Amino acid sequence: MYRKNLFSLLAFVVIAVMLLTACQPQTVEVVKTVVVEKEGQQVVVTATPAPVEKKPLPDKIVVGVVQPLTGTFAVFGQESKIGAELAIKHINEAGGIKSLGGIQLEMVVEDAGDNPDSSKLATESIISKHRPVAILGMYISRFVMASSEVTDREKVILIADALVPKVTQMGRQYLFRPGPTASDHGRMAYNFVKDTFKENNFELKSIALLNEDSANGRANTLGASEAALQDMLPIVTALEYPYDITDATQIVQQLAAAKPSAVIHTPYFNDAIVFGKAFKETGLYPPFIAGAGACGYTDPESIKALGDAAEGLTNTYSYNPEQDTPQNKKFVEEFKALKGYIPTEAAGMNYYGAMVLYEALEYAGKNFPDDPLNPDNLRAAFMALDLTTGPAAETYPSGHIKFDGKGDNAYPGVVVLQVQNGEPRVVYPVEVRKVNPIFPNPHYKP
Amino acid sequence: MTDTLLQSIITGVLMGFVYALIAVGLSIIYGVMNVVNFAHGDFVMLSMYLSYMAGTLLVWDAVATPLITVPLLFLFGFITYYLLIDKTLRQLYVVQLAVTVGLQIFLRSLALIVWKAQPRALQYSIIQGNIEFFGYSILTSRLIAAVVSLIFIAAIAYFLNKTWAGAAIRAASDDLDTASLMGVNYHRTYALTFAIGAALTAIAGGLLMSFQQTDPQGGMRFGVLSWCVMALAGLGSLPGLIAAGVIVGVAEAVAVTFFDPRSRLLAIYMIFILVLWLKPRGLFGRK
Amino acid sequence: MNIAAFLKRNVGWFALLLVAAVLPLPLQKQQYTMVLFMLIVLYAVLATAWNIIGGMAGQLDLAAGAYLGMGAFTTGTLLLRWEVTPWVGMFIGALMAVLLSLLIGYPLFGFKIKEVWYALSSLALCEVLRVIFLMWDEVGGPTEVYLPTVNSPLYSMRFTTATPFYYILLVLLVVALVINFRIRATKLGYQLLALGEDEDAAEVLGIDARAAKLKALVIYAFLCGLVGGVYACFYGYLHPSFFDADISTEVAIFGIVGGMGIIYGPLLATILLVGVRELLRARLGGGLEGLYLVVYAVVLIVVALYQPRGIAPLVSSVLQKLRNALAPGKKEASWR
Repeated sequence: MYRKNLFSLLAFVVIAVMLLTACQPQTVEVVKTVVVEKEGQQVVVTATPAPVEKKPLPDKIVVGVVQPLTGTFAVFGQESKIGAELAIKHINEAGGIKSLGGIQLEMVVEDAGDNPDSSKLATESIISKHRPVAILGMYISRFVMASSEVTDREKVILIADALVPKVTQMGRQYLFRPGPTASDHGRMAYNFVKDTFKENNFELKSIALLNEDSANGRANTLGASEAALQDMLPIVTALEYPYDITDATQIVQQLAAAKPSAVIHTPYFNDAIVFGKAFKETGLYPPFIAGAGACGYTDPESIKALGDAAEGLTNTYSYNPEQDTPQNKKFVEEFKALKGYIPTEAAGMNYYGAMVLYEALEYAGKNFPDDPLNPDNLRAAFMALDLTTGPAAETYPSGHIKFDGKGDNAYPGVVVLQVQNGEPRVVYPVEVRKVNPIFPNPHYKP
Repeated sequence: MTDTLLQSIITGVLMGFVYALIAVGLSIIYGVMNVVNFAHGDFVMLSMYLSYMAGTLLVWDAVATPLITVPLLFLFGFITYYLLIDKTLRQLYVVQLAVTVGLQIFLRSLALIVWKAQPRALQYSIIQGNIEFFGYSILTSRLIAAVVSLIFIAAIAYFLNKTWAGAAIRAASDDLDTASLMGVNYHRTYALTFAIGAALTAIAGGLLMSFQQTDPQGGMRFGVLSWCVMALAGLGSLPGLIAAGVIVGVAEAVAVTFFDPRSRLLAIYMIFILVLWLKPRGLFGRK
Repeated sequence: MNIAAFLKRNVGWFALLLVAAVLPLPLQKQQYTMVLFMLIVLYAVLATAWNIIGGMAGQLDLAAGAYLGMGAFTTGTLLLRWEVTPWVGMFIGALMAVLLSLLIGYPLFGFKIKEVWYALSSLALCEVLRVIFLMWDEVGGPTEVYLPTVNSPLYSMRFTTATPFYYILLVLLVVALVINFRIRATKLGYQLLALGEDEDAAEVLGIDARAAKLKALVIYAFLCGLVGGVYACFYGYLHPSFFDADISTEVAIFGIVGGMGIIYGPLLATILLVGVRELLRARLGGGLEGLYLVVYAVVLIVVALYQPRGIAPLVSSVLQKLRNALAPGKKEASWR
C-alpha cells in the first residue's frame, strides 16, 4: 500500500512537471527573407518585417565584453578587454555613431572564467543584466561555441575573436568573426618557412609538426600540413601534447631524432615557454622554429620568461602592430603608453572587432533608420559591410573586411612576428615587413 | 629505437630519485603517525610556489631557494600539525581524510588567489644544460636533482637510525602507548615528524622548480604520484622507496616517449591501481 | 497507511517540492538565476546519491565525476552516432556507469581495499578515465564534440533554456531521495550503516561487506550516470574534462558537511554551499576567484573537527523545537 501511494505520487509529480514544462510560452516569429545583391554575389539575409513607426533610441548603446578575465586564460582576456576599451574610447571621442545622431557606446564587462560552462553563464548574465546590442569575445574557441548558443537564442550579435574554423560552421546566425582562422595561420606559418628558406638559399628537406592538443592546435597543424602536402614536402613527424605540460625535454629529444629542417609548432601560451626552455636546455635546435596560431612565442610574457632563448623564434599573428595607418598608429601609441609594450594579438583583434561593430552600426543607422538596433537589421548591416577604408580596415592585416555567408571574413589577413633583440617585429609577408627575418635560428648549430 | 629507449630510461631514473624524495616525507608521516595526508602533493606545489617567490623577489637561483623554503615548510608543517592533525589522531579515518582534503583545497585555492591560474616558472637555473655521455645527453639539472635527492634520503636514513630524535620517531611508530610510557612526548615527536615530512617537499620543490613550472593544480599529480610510490614500496623501507620512485619515473618517461605525451598520468595511475590489487603490501614492504 | 497520513507525515518534504516546482515560474526571464538553481539541483542529486556509498556505507568515494562522465559520454555518443534519444540514452549511460562501478568495485572490495586506499583509487579512476578519453579520438579526444539537435529539441533533449533541465533534475532528485528512504527501510540500509560505523565489527557480526558495499556503489553509480546524461545535453558538448576530480571532491564535501548518512544532509549542504559560492562569485566578481574554495575548505575542516555528524542535526534540532512549539506533546523525529 505504502509503495503504491508513493508511486502514484511520483507519477503525479512527473505529470505536473511535464505540464509546467509544456506551458512555457513558445515564441513564434514571422521571418522575411531579403536578398542583398553586392558585387554580383547574392547574400541571403533574413530580417523581421520593419515596424512602421520609428523606435526611440536609447541614451547609449551598450556593448558587452565577455572575456576570460580570471583563470588559465586570463592573460588573453585582460589584453582583449583593453583592446575593446581603447576602440570604444576612440569611437566615442570621434563623435560616436554619427548616423544615429552621435550616440555614444558604453562598455560592460563580464568574466567568462575558466571553462565553457562559466563562459555560457557569463553570457546569460550579461544579457539578462544589460541587454547589449553586441558582445565581443571569449577568445577561447570552445567558450565561443558554448556562449554563441545563448547569443543566438537571445539574438545578440557576437563578434568572436577565436580562431578555430569550427566556430563559424555551427550554423549560428548572429556570429561574426572578422579575424582569420587557425587554418589560415597554419598555412601562413608554412608559407613563411618555405619562402624564408628559399630567400636564404637553405634547402627545406622536411618539416616536423608539433601542437598542443586543443581544437586550435589541431586546426593550425592541419592548415600547415595541407600546405606542405600540396608541395609534396615530407612531414617527418607530427607530435601532440597536452597544453598543461610541465616538462618538454623528452618531446624535444624526439623531435631532434626525426631531424627536420624546420619545426612548425602551435603553442597555446605557457607551453611556448616550456618548449623554448627545453630547446635551450637540451641544445637540440632544428634549423628553424616557426610558431603558428596563438601568440605563443612572441607574446611579451614569453619573451620576458625566455630571455635569450626567445631570440629568433617566430609566431603568426591575427593583427599587424606595424601597419602604417593613422588609426593603427594611434591605437599602438595609446596601448604602449598603457602597458609598456606593443598591442598583443588579443588586443588587436578586439580593437578591429569593435571597429567592425562601429561600421555596422553606422550602416544600420543609414539603411534601417526606423529600427537600427533591431538584431536582424544589425545582422543585415554586418552582412552588407565591405570595408577597405575606415578604422576597421586600417587596423586589419589584409585591409579588407567582408563577411561571407558563414560569418567569416572573406579576406583573412595574417602576419608573422619574430623576436629580434627582445622585440617582436613583423617579418612576413614580404610586402609589409620593415626588417628581414633572422635565419636560421641563432642557437642552431649545424 | 634502443637509443630512444635508453635515453628515456635515463631521464626516468633521474626523475625517479626526486619522486622518491617526495614520497619519503609522505611515508614517514604515514608510517609513524598513521595519518593519511591527502595534501602531501600540495605541499610540493606550495614549495614550488615559495621557490618561485624567492626566485623572483630575491632573484635567487632556483637551486638555492630551499635555503629559505625548507625552514618555511618546516614551520608550516609544525603549525599545521598542532592546528589540525593533532586533533584528528584518535578520530575516525573519515575525519582525518576530510581534514586533509580540506587542507588540500585550502592550499590549492590559496595558490589560485595569490599566484593566479597560469603556470609560473623561473628563469634559467645555473644548473641547466646538458652533458654528453656515450652519445646520450644527460640534462645537468636532472642529474643534480637526482644526486641531491639521494643525499637527502641518505641523511634522513642517518637521522632516523643514529640520532635520539630519530630513535624517538621510530619508537613512536612501533608502539605509541609504550613510547609515551617510556617518556617520549608523542605530540612533540609527531609534530617533528610532520614538519620533517613537509620540509622534505621543500627540497624537492626547489629542485623541480629549476626545470619545471607549477600551477595550482600541480599538487594533484605529485600527490597521487607519491602515494603510488609509497604503495609500490610498501612501508618502512627507504631503499624500497628509491626503487619504487625509479620504477614510477621510468614508467612515466617511457610512456611519454613511446605511447603518448598525455599518458604520463595514466602510467602512474595504472601502476597504482595494479599494485593495490595485486600487491597490497607493496613490493618491498616490511609490515 | 492511507494517502492522507502519508502526506501528513512528510509534510515538510511536500512543501519543499512544491516550492521547488513553482520556483521557475517567476524566473523565466532571468535565465542566469535559472541556471544557478539548475546547478544546485544537479549537485544535490549527486550528493544525495553519494550519501548511499559515502554517508551510509562510510566509503569515501571520490569518483562521482567518473560515473557522471561515463553517463555523459554514453548518452552523447548514442545521440551523435545512432540518433538514440537521450531520454533512453541516459538510462543506457547509467548502465554503463554501473558496469564501470562493478569493474572497479568488485576487485577493490574483494581485496578489502578501504579507507584512504579506496579514496585514492576512486580519485585515480576519475583521472584515468579523463586521460583515456583524451587519447581516445573516436569518442572523446581533446577537442569538444558538439551534440546535434536530431528530429526535435524534445527528442534530442537540447532545450535552449535551463528550465526543462531543472525539472528533469528535480525529478531525479526526488528519485534519489526516495531511493535513500527505501534503502534505509530495508536490511541493506542497516548493513550499510553498520559498515559505516565500524567495518571490522560489522563483518564479525556476519555482514557480507563486499556484497553490501557493491550494491551501494551500483546504486550510486546509476544515479550519477543518469545525471551525466542530462549534464551532456545541457552543456551541448562532450569533453574529457567531464571526468572531473573537482566535482567528485565537491560532492564528497557536500556529503560530509551535510552529515554522513543523514538523508537530507547532502541536499541541505548543497543548497547552502553552492549558494555561498555563487553569492561570493557575484559579489566579488573574478577578483578573488578561489575564495569560495577557501570557504569550502574551512567549512569542511571545521565541520570535520568539531561537528563530525554534519550540519544536518543542528538544523534538525531547530526544526524539532519549532515543531514542538507548534504542536506540543508530539515528539517524533520523522525527518531522519
